[in-house]
Amino acid sequence: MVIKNIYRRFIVITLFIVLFLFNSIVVGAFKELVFDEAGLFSSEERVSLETEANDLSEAYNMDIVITTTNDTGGKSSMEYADDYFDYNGFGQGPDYDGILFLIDMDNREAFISTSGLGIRYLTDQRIEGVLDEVFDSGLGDGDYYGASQGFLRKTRQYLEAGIPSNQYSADEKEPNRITIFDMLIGLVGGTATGGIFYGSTKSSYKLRNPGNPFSYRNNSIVNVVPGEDRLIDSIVTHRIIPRPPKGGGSSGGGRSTTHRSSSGRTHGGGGRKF
Amino acid sequence: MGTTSYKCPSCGAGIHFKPELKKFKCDYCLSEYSEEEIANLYKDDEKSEDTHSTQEEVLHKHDVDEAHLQSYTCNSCGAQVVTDDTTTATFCYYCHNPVILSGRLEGEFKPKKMIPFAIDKEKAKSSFLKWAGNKKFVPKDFTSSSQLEKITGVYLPYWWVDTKAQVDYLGEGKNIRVWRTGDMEYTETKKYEIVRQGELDLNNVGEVAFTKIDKSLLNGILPYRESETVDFSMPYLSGFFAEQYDITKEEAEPMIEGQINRYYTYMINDLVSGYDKVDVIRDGIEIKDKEWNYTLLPAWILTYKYQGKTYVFAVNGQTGKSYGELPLSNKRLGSAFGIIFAATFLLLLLGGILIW
Repeated sequence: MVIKNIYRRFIVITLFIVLFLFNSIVVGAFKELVFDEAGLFSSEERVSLETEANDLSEAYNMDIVITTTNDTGGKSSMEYADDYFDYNGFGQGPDYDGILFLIDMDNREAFISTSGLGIRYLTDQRIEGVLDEVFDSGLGDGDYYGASQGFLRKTRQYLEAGIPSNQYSADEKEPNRITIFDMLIGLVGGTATGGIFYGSTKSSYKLRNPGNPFSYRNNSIVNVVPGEDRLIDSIVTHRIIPRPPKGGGSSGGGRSTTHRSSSGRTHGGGGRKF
Repeated sequence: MGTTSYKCPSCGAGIHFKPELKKFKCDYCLSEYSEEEIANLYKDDEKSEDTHSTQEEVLHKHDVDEAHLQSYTCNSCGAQVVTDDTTTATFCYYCHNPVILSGRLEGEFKPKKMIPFAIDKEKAKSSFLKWAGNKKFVPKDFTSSSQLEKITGVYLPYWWVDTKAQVDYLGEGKNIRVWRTGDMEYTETKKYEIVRQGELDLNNVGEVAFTKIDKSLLNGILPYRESETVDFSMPYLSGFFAEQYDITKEEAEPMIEGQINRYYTYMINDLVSGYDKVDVIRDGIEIKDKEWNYTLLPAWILTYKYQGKTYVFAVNGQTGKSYGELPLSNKRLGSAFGIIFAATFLLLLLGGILIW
């Protein structure tokens, strides 16, 4: 009886463990990637988006997240999207590869935040391309499901196309505050320009020897026989002009502008009001 | 040594040369005379006056010799005229009549040429103000009229030299032409023999012959219009100051020589033109003739004392060109510095906020 009891317990525990493991595997394979906090999607739409986002995430090993909100808590769309991505633990690998699509009903803005490899895939130009697709798919008309589908469709297309060969990342300039260094530059620059003015004015008031501006042309008589100059020699030489090697190239279109989010991580991205 | 005062033939008052009229005009009876008329009038008198003043010289000269000043007697009022040892024309301290120390304008000190004053005091003042007015940082009272009243017209001594030179020049000129045909570049070099023979005259090469005024100051108001030079005539000095040279011909010669050689080189260069490159084989300049002319040139001189330093200015008595070292008001320049400093500082701070 006791042994039977122990046996049963063992089975229950094993079952629990198996269930738990299985469950975790399921969760690992099917991650929640759509967060409809503004309630813009029906449950069928949500499932459909979730499936597609998961499919894309698995194929490219990055988190493709779709989120909506009615209240950003005073944040801009960019801050909200970046923070949502960072603080909810999205991003795969050491660089937190991923792309987040935010429909911000508070600021009425669609925003794409990229991270890690996502920054490299979605250059500034491509983000504009995705946003074009999102707006063409009916964001302005309230078709949020269509817009999200548009996002996934265009993103997939770009991911399939790979990272553009001329892609590069450039940090967006942060707004600055006056630092002691700025003060120092100001002081040095002010003293320098003021000093140059002071010095040059002072020296221009000084007496300089102007030389003797005598005009010999007005005070001379020239009586010289004008003679024909005789040609005594004429030589022609030649050489082959070396051709300069062709070189150079063009750049442009490959820029990914990045900025730093509140967590200190680097994001790319861009948005558009609707 | 004698003195001469030119007096109005009509009323006997002292008469001045008026640059704006180019004539002599009596301030009392308003009679006008040309330089020629006055000079002719005094031609006969000169001899008798000379003998007269030789006696005066004997009487007066010995007692002031120690002070290195010489005294002359004003022929209008009889007062003593005390002057510097180089002054040749001045005014009597007592009767303010122009006095010309004609004894100092004789022999080796007789000028040969001169340019008479062409602009009067008023015009000299206005051209000086125009020049100084461009400068913003002079002391406030600098351009005031009471300051400018002290401007004086002075004839200053110069050495002018006229030369003639024989030229026998030989040079080689090169013209280089480059053109392209396809991948080939051709260079054609043509050589020419250049021969220049003849005579070059160079006149009025000058040097200041006076040490009491800074040479670079006087060079600053050059050039004069040499074409308006006239033979020296003493009446022109009436109403102005005049100075005698204190740099001799011999002392000025090396500087004049240097100038002459330089200008001849320029003149030859002017004769040879149209070549990319010229090699001189023989420049063959032979200076044949040198004529020295002791010349008096007109200048308005102004001195100004500011913070213990004396500033001297000159205005060309013929052209009005002004020159001199200007006093600098530290207060005015200092505030300009402050404004520029503040503006740059703010600009850089703004840059700090918005740009970098």
